[in-house]
Amino acid sequence: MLLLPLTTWWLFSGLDYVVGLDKVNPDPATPEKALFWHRMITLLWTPLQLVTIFGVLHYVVTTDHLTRGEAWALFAGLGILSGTIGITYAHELMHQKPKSERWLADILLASVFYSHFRSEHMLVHHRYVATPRDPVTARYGESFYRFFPRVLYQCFVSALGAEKAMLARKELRATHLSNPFWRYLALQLMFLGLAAFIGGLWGVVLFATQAFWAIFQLELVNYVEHYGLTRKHLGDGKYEHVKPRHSWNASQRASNWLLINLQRHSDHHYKPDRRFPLLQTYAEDEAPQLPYGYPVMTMMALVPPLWRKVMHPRIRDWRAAFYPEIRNWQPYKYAQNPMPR
Amino acid sequence: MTPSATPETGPVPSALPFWLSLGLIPLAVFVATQGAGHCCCCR
Repeated sequence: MLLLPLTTWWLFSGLDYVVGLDKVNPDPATPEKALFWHRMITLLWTPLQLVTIFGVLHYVVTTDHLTRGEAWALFAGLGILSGTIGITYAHELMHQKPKSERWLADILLASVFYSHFRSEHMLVHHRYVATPRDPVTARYGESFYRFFPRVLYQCFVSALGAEKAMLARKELRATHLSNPFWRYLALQLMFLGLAAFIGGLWGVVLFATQAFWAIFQLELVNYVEHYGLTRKHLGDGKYEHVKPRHSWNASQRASNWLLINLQRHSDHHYKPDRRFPLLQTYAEDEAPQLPYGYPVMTMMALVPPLWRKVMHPRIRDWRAAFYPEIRNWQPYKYAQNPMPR
Repeated sequence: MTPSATPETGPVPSALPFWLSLGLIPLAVFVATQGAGHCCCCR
């Protein structure tokens, strides 16, 4: 039952140790046709994930050798899988220009009951990262156990608010059919209905278990990506532009294979629609470096004293290196600076 | 901000390691579905 989290967390932690770092940067102007097989992997994952979730659900409700506890644990493991692979791939797809790819992202996110992540990520996170307005920028000293319930609530509210504001600018009501929340609702109800059709109430419970652990895994990664990093407040609600220094970068080779270079996160925020094979890594003088890849760091985030012991000295070094002129970090620490305009 | 010169420049990485990493997943799912002590190969 532990095999799925073991694969993503422990196996890739070990592989990172063995295969080391990858600090090679490909030419960002590489033509799209050279990336055919890289793109294909993200396109194929959507049907594969659906077949896996609902195929395993059908298997579990028609077989008699798994206890209820084992079935529940299996779907928790599947959630780690759809959180690690599925949401990461959905993230890659939602940033692309072709509508078909953005649809695949919506389908993947609906299969983990977290569709509004697309609105929150595109309209809030990228615009307001490392400011008090971005819910998913973890504050210095905030444990994951405080962060997780906070983002579950604030992400939904900020995503809905951002879509409403966008419709208002077009002089449309929030209930207008072009609000993507309608699409989110329809897709999520469709998958919930499919789970109920296959496994009844128990099917819904297992599907929800999978969704919960996928969201847990996603928010664990979100917690790591910008922990304690803040953009300089220039006064009057104005903030400096997003720079590579506002995301943690990690060059661990094997976990970047698994996470399709998500750990080259500094560059992702610099060029959000750059396809994953072309993402760049940065040296320490431009972006803060995580000591280990996400598999180790996310496990570490579950143990707050250990997390603080490893991360806080690094954040203090980051502050001294990039913002020696800032003397009072309290407003940054407690998100007390004015909301960005 | 434009990324400055990074440690090394090189070709686009092969797609193969990304595919191989993903290939481990179906295997893990299959084994996980068998349940403790109930591997279909052992029955």
